[in-house]
Amino acid sequence: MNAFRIDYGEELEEAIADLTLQIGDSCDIVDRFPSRWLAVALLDNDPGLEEYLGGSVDGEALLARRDELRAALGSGIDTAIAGRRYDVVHDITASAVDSGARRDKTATDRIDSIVINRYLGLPIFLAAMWLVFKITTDIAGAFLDWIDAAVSGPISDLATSAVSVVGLEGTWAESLIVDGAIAGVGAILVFLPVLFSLYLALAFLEDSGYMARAAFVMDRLMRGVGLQGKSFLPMLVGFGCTVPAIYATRTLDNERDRIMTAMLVPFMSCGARLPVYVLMSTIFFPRYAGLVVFAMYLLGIAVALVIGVILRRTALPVTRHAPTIMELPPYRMPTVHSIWFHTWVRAKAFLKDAGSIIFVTMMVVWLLMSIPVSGTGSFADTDVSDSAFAAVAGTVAPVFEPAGFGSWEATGSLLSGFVAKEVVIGTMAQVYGVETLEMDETESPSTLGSLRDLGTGFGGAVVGAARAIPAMVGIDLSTDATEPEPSHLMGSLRLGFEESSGGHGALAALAFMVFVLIYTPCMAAVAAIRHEIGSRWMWTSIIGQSLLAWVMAVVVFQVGILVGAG
Amino acid sequence: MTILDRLLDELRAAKGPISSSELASRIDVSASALDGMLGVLITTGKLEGSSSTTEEFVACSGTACGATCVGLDKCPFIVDVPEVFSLVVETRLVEPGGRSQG
Repeated sequence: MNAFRIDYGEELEEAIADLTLQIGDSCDIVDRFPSRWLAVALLDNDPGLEEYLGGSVDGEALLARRDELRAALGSGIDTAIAGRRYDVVHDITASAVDSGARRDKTATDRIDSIVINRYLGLPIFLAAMWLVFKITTDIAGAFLDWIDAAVSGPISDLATSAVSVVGLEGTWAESLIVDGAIAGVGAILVFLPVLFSLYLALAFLEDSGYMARAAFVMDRLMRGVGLQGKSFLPMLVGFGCTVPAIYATRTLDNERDRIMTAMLVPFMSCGARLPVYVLMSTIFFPRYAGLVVFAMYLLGIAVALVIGVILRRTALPVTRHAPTIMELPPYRMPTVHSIWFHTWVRAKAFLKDAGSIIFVTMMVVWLLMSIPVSGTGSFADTDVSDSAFAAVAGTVAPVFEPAGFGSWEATGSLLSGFVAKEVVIGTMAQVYGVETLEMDETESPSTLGSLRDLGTGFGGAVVGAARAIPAMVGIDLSTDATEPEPSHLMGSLRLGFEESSGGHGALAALAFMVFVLIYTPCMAAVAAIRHEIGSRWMWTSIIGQSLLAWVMAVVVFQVGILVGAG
Repeated sequence: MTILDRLLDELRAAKGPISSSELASRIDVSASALDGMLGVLITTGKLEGSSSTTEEFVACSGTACGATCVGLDKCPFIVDVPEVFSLVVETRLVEPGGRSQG
C-alpha cells in the first residue's frame, strides 16, 4: 500500500525533492522523521530545524529558494502549504460526508439575509433603535412623575423632619440637604426608570445577537467616512459612556484612525444625555417625545459622519483600509437572568455616579447658589437670582440669546454640565425647582398624605405604562383625555424657556437639546481624549464642539422661527 | 489556487465587511472549517484578529475618569461585539538577516 502523500503543486514539489536529496541520510534526525516531511518543514520555516539537520542543507541556498517560491506562488510559502493541505481535506470530506445539511440555510442565515442586507440593514437598524427609544420614553416615562413625587414629597418631608429633630430647621444645613442634595441628585435619580429601560432594551438586543449585526451595518457607515471597520467598537461603547469609548480607540491599528474615532465618539449620545432629552421632549413635545429622542441620537450619528468627512478631507486624509470578516453569533432567545444582569450592572454604575461625582458637583452648585452677591439675602437664605451662580451664568447667558435659551438658569445648567452631563438636569432642578418650591411652601401636604398620593401615583404609573404598549402601535386605550398635571420643575422649565425665547419655547428647547448633544463632553471624557490623543486634539475637541454646538443651536432656533415652526 | 487563496481573494473582492457564514458559503466550507482556516491565516500573518488587541485597552483606569469607569473587565458599558478579522495590508518586511519577506 502506497503511503499517503499530499501533492503540494509543481513549484513546491520541485523544491521539496531538491531538499529531500540534500537531507538524504546525513544526520540522526532522519531516522525518526521522513526526509520529505523534514523538507516540507524546512520550506515552512520550522524554527530551529536547520540546526538539527547539522549543516546538511545550505542555509543561503534555502533562503534564496524560499524567495523564489514566494515570488512564484504569489503568497507565503506557509499559506501555500496549509492551503494544499486544506484542499486535500476538503476533497476527502466532500467525497465522504453528505454536505446537504450543511448547505441548507439555517434560521440565522435566513434572518441575516434580511437584517444585514446591504439595502435593508440600515432601515432595520434605525427601526430597532426607534423602538428602543419609544419604550424608553413612553413606557418608562410613565414612572417619572411617580419617582418625582416620591423625591419631592415623602423623601423631602422625611429629610426636613430629620433636620428639625436635630435642631437644624431653618439653617443652611437644611437648605444643603433639601435644596442641594435631594433636589439636585433626586432630580437625576428620577430618570432611573428611563435609563433602566434603555439598558434593558439594549441588553435584549445584545443577548439576542442583534447588536453584532448592528455593528456590521455600522461598519459600512464607518467606511463611508474613511474609517476602518473596527472603529464601530468605540462608537457602540459611546452610546453607553464616552470615556471607555475613547479608551477603546486603542484597538485601532493606526494613529490616524485612533484620532479620527476619538474625535467622533463624543457625538454618539451617551446615557447621561438621555435624561435631558427625555425631560425636554416630555415638556415641549409630549406626543412625539420618543421620536424627538430618537432624532437626537440620529443627529449625533449624522454630525459624526459629516465631521468625519471633513476631517478626512483636511487634517486626517484617508488611508486604504483592509477588508474585514465578522464572526456573527447565531441568534438566540435571551435569558431573563442575563438581561437582568446586564441591565443591573449598568444601572448600578449610574447610581454610583449619582452618589459620587454628581453628588459632589451638586453640592458645589448649591454652594454657589447659596452665596449672595446682590440683594439683601444671607448665606443659604438668598434668592437664587441674587446668587454667585446666577451672576456667573448671567455673564455668559447673552451668548445663547440667538439660540433662544439665553437665561442664566439654562446657561448655568449647561456650564455645570461640563463636569458631567447628568448634572444639567440636577442643576435645572435646583435652579427652577427651588424657585417654585419657595412659592409653594405653604401648600406642602402632610407626610401621610404624600405617602398616600405616592401609592396612588404608582398605580397610575403602572396603568400608564401598560397603556403605552398598545399606544406604540397606534391603539389608544386611554379613557382620560386630559393631559397630566405637569410637575413643578416641568412647569417652571416651560415658563423659563418661553420667556427667554420670546414665546418660542419649543424651538428653544430643541436648540437646547441640540447644544447638549454636541457641546464638549464631560470632564472625564476630555481627560480621556488628552490621555489618548494629546492636548492639541483635546483643545480642538473642546473648542470645536462648543462652537459647532452653538452654531447648530442658533441655526435650529433661527431657521425654526423663519419657517414658522414653534 | 488553494482554498486559502480563494478565501483571501473573496475577502479582497468584498465591498465592505463580510460575515463569516457568508464567506464560508462562498468558498463552500463549513463554519468550523472556516474557523480553522482563519486561525492558520492569522498564524501566517495574512489576517489579524481583534481579540488580541482588545486585551490591550484597559479602559478608563485611573482617577481622571468618571465614577462609572472601573476598568475594562468591569466596565458596564463595554458591548459584546463580534470578532473581527482584518486582512493585513501586504508590505515587504525586511528580516534581520537582510532578506525580505512578502
